[in-house]
Amino acid sequence: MRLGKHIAPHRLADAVSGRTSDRESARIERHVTACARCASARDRLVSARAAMADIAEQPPPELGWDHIGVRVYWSTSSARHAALREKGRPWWRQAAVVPVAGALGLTAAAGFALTLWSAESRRAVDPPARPPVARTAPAAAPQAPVTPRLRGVVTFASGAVAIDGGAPRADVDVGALFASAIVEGAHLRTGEGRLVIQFGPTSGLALTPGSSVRLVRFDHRVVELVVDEGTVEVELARRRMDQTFSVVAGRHRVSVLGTAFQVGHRAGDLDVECARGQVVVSDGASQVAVSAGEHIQVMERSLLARALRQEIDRRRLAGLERGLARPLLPAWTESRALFDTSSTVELEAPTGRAVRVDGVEVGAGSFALRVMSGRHQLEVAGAGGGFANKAWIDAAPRDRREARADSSGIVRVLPAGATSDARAPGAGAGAVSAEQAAMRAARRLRRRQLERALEGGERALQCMRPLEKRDLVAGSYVVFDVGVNADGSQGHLNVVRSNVPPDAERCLRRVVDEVELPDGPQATVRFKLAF
Amino acid sequence: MFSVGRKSGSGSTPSQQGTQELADEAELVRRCQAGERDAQDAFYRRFRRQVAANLYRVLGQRIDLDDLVQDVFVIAFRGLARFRGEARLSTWLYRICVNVALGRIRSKTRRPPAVLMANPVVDAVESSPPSPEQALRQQQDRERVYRALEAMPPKKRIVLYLHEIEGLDLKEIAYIVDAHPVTVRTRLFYARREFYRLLTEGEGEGGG
Repeated sequence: MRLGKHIAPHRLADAVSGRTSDRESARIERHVTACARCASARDRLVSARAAMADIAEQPPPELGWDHIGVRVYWSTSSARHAALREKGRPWWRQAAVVPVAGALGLTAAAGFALTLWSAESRRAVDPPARPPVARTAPAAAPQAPVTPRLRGVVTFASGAVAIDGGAPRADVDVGALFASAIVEGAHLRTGEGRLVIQFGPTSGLALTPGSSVRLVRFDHRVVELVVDEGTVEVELARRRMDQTFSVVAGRHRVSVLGTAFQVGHRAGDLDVECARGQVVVSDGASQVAVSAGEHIQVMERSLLARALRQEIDRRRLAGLERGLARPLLPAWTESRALFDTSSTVELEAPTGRAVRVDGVEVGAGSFALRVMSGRHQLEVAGAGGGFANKAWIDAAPRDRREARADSSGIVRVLPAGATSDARAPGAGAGAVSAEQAAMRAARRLRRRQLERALEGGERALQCMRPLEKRDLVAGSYVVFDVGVNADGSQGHLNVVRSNVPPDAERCLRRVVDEVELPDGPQATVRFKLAF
Repeated sequence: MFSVGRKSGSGSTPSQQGTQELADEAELVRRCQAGERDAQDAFYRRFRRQVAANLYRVLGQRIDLDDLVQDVFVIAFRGLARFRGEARLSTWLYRICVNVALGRIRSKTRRPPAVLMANPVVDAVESSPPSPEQALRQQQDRERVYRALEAMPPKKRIVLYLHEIEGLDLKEIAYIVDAHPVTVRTRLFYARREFYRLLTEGEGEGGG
């Protein structure tokens, strides 16, 4: 075949670029002079090489540099972003002014950011040392640091609780409780109950029975809790150096360097137990570091300096590690978004009976719990303490589901939207099973669609490439919780658990996020992307 | 540490200046890592043109270039804490640019190919400006190059671009695309074969 006699284009390109030996160049030259096709190919390559050199010298186009700078600034400065959102909050809640307020807010934000950016650009040659907090008129100095407030959500409530400083009530309105954001100034109280507040990824605090805690400062930089009475458990994700977290109990201040601890303050006595990391207890005159597995008790009238640190016994420590400030949601985005993607489950169970949700023990007896929307398994211990009975509960976003367990631990899930009045046994059983069957079918369909969309996906494999080099791909997985709307769009997308590094997890989440599904039934699907 | 630098042509880069630049870079990185707003501002102003040029040349078009430049800087600022100085800052940024460009190339909502590069306006200070015919031909040649690039799989495309157009060596490319040099060499071998075959197969000229 004649084709085999021609010079391969990449060899011609080498010859054009002078990357071939003299002998090879001469051979190619001889062929080209005798072959019209190769001569034409070489001419095309010569002009292409010139174009490539031209491309390499192309100057960048002029772009809206300041505009891009502002956008970069706003994307990276989450603090300012959050601050602006907080500012606009009261108006946002008013539906009538949403379009106007939104437009005005965006314009103001862009204007404010542009002004700020250009002002800082002008100063950049000789940056002045800006006084950190010396401000007299907050409104007139928008570039002063604004620390965004933290917003917590209730993830668990049992017994008598209150979040407004009032007397704890057992008949608290669960809907209102779980729909409230916990912000600075909140006064949390528990009677015979337990209250858990989450305010960040793996960050939360819990009030044990008979506690009263005030959130004196509650922002991204400073958190200060005052324990008037009782015990507060704290689980805290790693904080930056410029963030402080402290618990004030009487004349003592417990500052956090580490992650999981509890502070008890009863009748003036201080009791600090540290499960992980390290905390520092101070009374103004002296300070004592309490490390993981240690415990310190300071009586009301005794000196902190004389207090003895003791080791927590192993069983107690294991309990602390397992149970401090739990349960928390596995995924955390932002409290406002969480209200839209989570659901409340109210369980009525015999007093003292341990309860598991998705295999994890979360409490005992009756309580209300925030869960990510999706399918969850409920188990209530029987009279003997074993978990023999399981029930599934499907919680749609913003849903409030109720379940009841009898003395033998059998759980009955009430139909969605059913009130407590409609709890007559057997009422609407047919409708319930039909509804459940439809939901199951919808879930199956959506899961299949998702799996098909991701099957053999090059992009998902791309995400795993860094692990491939370390031979860690096999056995890796990420479990997603996806809410699929009727139009095929995704209502929410959460990573429930995974065993891959955060970068890969984020990458895979993006891949799933980009999946577009056809119109169909609305469903919340939990599926595992396994490699 | 190594750097990926296109020959700037400025001609005055004595070693002292290089050392000073490195020290400045390290200081800039340190201040950015500490969250200093002014340092981030300086960082952005220092590298914005380079980033835009990299993206522009890799992709061959300026559609959404603003967004991509923004993406690169957002990624850079968020990842700066992990920058350990094993390469020059510009090289590290180049790597981010390539990844962002790869993402764009792979994006399923790919834009229609080309209103390719506009003729350079800023640098048009040549001694003898090309005639309209020459300019048109040059434009067509550039479009032909980008058409061939677009017909290639993203990984091959990037490797080929970095080697054949930017003139980087295997080690530099390996750092940028985060692959082993041997992998890069293999990929480049096949990419070159494909690319030059595509270039020589013009429309209406099947060859034969």
